Amino acid sequence: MRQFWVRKKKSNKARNGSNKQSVTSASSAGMNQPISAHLPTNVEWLYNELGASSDIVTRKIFDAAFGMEGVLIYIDHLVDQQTVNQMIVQPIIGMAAQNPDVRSPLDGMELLKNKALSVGRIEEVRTLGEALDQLLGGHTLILLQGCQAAISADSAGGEKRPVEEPSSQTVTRGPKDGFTENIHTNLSLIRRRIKSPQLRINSRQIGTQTKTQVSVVYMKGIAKDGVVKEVMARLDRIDTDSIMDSGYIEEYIQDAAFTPFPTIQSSERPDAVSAGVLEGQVAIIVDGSPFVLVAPVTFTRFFQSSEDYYQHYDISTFLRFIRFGGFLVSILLPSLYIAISTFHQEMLPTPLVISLASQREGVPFPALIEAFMMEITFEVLREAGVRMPRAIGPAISIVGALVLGQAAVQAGIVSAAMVIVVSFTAISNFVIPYNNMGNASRIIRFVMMLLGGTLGLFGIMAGVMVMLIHLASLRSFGVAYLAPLSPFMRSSWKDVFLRMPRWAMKNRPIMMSSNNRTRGGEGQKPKAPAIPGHEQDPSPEPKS
Amino acid sequence: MSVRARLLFVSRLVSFLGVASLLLTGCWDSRELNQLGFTAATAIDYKEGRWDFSYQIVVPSAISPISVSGASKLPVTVYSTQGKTIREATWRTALESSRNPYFPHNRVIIVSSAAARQGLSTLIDVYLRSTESRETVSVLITDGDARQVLNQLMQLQIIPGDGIEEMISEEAKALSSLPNVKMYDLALELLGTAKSAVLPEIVVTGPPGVTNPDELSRTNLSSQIKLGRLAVLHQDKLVGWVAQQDALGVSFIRNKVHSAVFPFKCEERSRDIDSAFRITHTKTRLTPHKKGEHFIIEIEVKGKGELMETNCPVDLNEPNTIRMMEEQLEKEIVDKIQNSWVAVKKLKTDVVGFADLIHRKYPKEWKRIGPEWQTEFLQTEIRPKAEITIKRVGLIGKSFKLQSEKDG
Repeated sequence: MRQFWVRKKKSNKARNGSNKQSVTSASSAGMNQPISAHLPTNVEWLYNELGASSDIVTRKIFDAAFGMEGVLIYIDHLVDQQTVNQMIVQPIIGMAAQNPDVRSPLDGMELLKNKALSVGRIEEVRTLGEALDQLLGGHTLILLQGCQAAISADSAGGEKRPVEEPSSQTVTRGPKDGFTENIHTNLSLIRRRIKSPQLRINSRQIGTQTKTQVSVVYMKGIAKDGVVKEVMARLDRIDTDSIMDSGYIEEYIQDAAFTPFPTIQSSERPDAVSAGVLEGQVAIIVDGSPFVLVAPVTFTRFFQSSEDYYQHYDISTFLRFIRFGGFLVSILLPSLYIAISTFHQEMLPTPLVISLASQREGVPFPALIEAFMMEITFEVLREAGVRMPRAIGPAISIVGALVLGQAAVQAGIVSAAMVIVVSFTAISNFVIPYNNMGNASRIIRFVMMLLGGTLGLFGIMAGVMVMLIHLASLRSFGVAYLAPLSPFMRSSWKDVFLRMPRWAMKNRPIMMSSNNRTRGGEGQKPKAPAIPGHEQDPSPEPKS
Repeated sequence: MSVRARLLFVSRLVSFLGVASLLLTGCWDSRELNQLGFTAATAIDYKEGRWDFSYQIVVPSAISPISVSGASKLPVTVYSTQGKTIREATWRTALESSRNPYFPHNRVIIVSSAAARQGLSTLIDVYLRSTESRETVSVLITDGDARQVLNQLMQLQIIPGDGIEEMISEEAKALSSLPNVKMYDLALELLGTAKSAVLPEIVVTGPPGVTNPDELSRTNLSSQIKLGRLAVLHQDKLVGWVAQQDALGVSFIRNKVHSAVFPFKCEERSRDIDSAFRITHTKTRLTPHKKGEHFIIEIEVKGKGELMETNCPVDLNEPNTIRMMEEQLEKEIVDKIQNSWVAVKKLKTDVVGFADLIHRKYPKEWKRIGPEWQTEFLQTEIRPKAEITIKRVGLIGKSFKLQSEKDG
């Protein structure tokens, strides 16, 4: 018990350390050391800290004749060369050529900041640690002899991927832009969609080594304050050395540690994320990852594609039913097939059972083993399809058609019905718009198959019960995972199984939004104008 | 042990027991599809004081899309077992078959007249008691060796048991002479006030039976399965037969007509029966009346239908002609009912269900006559009435005969 407390205290300390905006690495002393007036000391310190990496560029600016000495430092691979050349170096040289009247280094610094440098974001840093952080963030440092401060000019750049169509969530109608690895691009994609002063972006750095920028995006007044606070608190609790993708963050901040179901949504689509933010969700954007996290999220959200809102509501509603159906098929079809064909043969219509029996004739394995074999084969193929080099694609599809097709049936190893069941299950899995929910169904499917093969329909029922109880117990940032189904919220059912027309959804869903729930005005249902000459007579006023 | 460690231990124990229970007990009554002998039809006979039970078991490999070498070409095989009781006979199948007979998909059960004379109560008991067999199985009766029916192959249906079921259910829908009697119908009727029931007869025409796939490769089979008469049961025993031509009348009284086609004379004075009518939407109402000591049953048949054929020189655009035809139809139906009444009376068995009617309407009198209903039944009279509407006459109004006589 005592040890437990000690451990907690330690982690508290670490947490406090990482809470500061500029993260200091605990290893080196002198991080809080102020910048000294002696220029070479500062430069030497920075060089030592960075281990004299070859990509550090230093350049002397001004000279003693000018009245002050200075050094410009940046890291070659982090900056945008053009910015450094045109916005920083060129103005400085220009300034030196003009021979202005510089009386003291401080004066020179003011001059540089206010008159010379044509970079938008300029900061003055006072400690060496701060200066180091700025340097690693792609800024260009200008250190002046005799100054106890340095100028940090934002010149961050480097290669980035252009905005492309999202590869994992495609639509036929709707915006085609997708998030990229660059957090600034991603933020701009959202900002440009929501031109509201209420859109708030709150950033922090996570990861003692990677110092990854993580931004929390939400709508003030629409998102629940408690949820926003909780998101930030959970982010601040993260104490790790590196963040490579939003997946790292997701594992640290999700509500339940052991569940196959995702309690945080991740999306590659700026329109989907913006729509979520406008409904009161909080987006978490991680630098270096094109997948933006969205929380809180409910179970039914994973079956809503952003395209639902771009095409007509009737087809969207139909497609939602297909998706929910696909999810159920993906979880239950193989297990139901096993259970019914090995325990409850009386449930099938006679012609069907005779047909199934004739297909199973000569198949050497029990249905359970047969189904496991085929499912595993499919999973292997699927994984191979994802991992293999693109050039080998055709080979995989040929082999796949052999092992999961007529050849397997003709070899007498599996029955044709099982091939159909496994293939349909596999296809059904892909109608779920969010891949992580699809993955959940893949795992549950195997458990259900085992239950169906050992205990029959009773086992499947028990499995479904356990799954439902588990789903009902899940929370996502305080929001019940099954809402609005359970707890029942009738007013939010307009966008669950049905997708009501836009003009009918006047309010934001109750689960996510704060009290500010009105989305649009009343009476927006389209009306045809009266045909000229056929206007209805105004009904006579009732006499009363 | 700390709380934490204890919790961990308990959760590990529970999951271990869970997995162990799945692995140890699982699959104990699972049966693969290729371990089952799907029984398509069952036949029951009574010979020399023992039940003789036969099953028609489907051979899946014969109808498999993938040809298994060496598999038989025949879609079914028939086993026979004997025993003092039905269930015992069933279980004796294990002595001769590699697959246990599986009854839920049994479509028909064929009872021989010998077995029916012996009494069907034990068979009904077996069907109601067993969890595996279904009461929705159709029951048919044959006046001979029941096993012979199972041996017969059919041309259009691969599995003969299936074919027999389709045949009787289609007949009951389209022609309505013979009812499709399910096991629970039979049980309910035998438990009814009249304690009597009917069963359709199935016959195999002309020896030799078609039991060999080679014989199937002919357009005209040497023998076929056909539906025959109506068997009448009283108190679970066979008491006699009603001929097929009288069976429709019985169906009319019992309100079991879905659709029927029958010929009639279009006019009172015409010599030949030259028109056909298809009756649908028919309903029969029976009303018992008291007449002195005995009873009169009023039978009202209401129906609509379509004229299907006529060779009378008539113009059907005339409402009077239609009315005349309707009268003839009504007469025809009343005749049918009268004829079948005579046939039923001969068997002294109330298969038409009058006992129930009288019991309900005159419960006091029933107490008196109930015990002697067998004899009282014979004193009962019927007053049949019919009301037929011709709804459609087809595409032509005037008959072709009328048209040709006019031109000639």
